[in-house]
Amino acid sequence: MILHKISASPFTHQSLQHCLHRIDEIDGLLLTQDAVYAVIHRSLNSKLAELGSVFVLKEDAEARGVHVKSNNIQLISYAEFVELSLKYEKVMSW
Amino acid sequence: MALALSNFAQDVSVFFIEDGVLQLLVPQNPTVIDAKAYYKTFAALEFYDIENIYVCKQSLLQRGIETSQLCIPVTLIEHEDLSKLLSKQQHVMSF
Repeated sequence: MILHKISASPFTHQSLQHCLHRIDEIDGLLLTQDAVYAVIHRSLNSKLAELGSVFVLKEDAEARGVHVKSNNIQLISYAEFVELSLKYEKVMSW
Repeated sequence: MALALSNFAQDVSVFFIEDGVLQLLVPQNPTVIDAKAYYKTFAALEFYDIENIYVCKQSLLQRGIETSQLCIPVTLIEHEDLSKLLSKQQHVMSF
C-alpha cells in the first residue's frame, strides 16, 4: 500500500506515465506541483478516472489555474497530505 | 529579462512553447503557494514595445487550452514555423 507522489508535468516528463504502468489497485496517487497539469491532459485524464484513490494538492492546482472537475479526484490540503503519508505504508516520490 | 532588453532598444520576440504556454493560463492564484504572480507582468510587454509574442498552437492544443484562456493577446504559430522564426533571431535565451 504505497502513496505515489508525482511532482513533474506529464507534458514534459514521463514520471506519471511510468508510475501508472506500475501502480497497484490498493495504492494511492498524489499529484503535486506541476504534476497537477495531468488533470488537463486528455489521455491521462481518462487513466486517472480508472484509479480508485487519486489526490491533488489543492494549493498547487489553484496556483496554476487548474480546475478539477472529475468526481474521483480528491482535492486535499497540506494537512491532509501529512495524514495520507501516515495512512499509507510508504510514500514513493517519482 | 525581455523588458530589460527592450530598454536597450533591442527588437525582442518572446516565444511560449510546450509547458511554457501554461504560464499564460488565467485565472491563476500563485500567492497560495507563496509564488510570485508574474503572469501579471506579461501585460506590460506591449508598453515596452514587445509585440512579437508567439505561442505554439500545438502546445496549446495538447493541453486543451484556448486563446481566450490566455492573459494577453498572442500570435499563434505552427510547430514548423518556430524553427524559421528562431533562426531569424540574433540571440536566443531559454528560460
